[in-house]
Amino acid sequence: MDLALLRIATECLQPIRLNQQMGAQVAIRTPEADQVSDWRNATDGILLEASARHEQRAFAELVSRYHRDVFRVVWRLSNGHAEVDDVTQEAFMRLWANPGQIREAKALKGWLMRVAANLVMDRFRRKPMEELEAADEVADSALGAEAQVDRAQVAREIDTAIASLPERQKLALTLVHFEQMTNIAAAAAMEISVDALESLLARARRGLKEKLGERGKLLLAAMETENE
Amino acid sequence: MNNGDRTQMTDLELDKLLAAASRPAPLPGFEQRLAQRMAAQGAQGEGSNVIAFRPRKAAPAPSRAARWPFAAALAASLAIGLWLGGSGQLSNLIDPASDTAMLDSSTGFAPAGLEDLGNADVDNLS
Repeated sequence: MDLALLRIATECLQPIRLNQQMGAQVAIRTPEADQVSDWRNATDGILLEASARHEQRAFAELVSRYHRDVFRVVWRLSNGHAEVDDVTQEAFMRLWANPGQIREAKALKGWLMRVAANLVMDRFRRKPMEELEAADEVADSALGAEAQVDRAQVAREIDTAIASLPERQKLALTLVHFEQMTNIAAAAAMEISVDALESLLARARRGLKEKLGERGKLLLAAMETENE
Repeated sequence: MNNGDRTQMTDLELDKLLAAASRPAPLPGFEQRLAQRMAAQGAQGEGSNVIAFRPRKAAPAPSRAARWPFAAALAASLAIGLWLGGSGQLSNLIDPASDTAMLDSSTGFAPAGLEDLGNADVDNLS
């Protein structure tokens, strides 16, 4: 009687236990994960579970899905530093080392963004970020009010303005504006409240408006001229 | 004031500018580079993070001359223990007066306020 009850309880609790024990790095095989033949169609949850068992093809699929997003965030936060590729790789190596850190599959992107942001802050706190600083001077000296502006130069000036923002404002703007994350998801990724995120976003936008100022209007006009 | 309003960008204008910002992409072959790095680190980790156990050196055996003092001290303590236990002399080491002194000092002890409770008029409690 007791044995039968125990068996039924074990079978019922199997999917729940999977989610709970991912945190403890105990990978339990679920039928879904075992039956996957084509990892491209698998959900993030299945891929994470398989990665916890060090299934390399499943992990490769996760990398394929998210490495561009992580790369863009690292690029933006490090102002296009030469080590962007290296830091992006490092973020995925952290994931490979311990996929069980992610409690829910839907939090994976936010987790990767947070790890990448922390890596950038740790690594570049010691080394000053200079990559986009030079672009500012070039732009100031080369462009007059009537000068022709190509799209690459506009992009460089905007990148430079964004690079001048404080780190957390830059991260909030990057997640919401460039990565199209919702305010809730971005706030969760940054481990702050939604109100705090909105405050950071508002300050970032105000800072950009002040930084770009009249120059921003000129850039807009130049872009419109180019489009015509 | 008016000049400031004219130069201040609107949200729409800022959004248009942000849409023109760079959207960099990683160089092709990111997955391969990551796989190589993981393989290299895995191989390196297997070699460098594991410290081989060294066989512990056997403790030097005590010389024959050094054994006698230990044996004599052990035998003496054993003999004293047997003598004290067997003749009932151990009780002499404890002062029997100390037990009664402790009892005397604790007889007058009671929690504060118990006397007041004894005098309380239970019927008039509201």
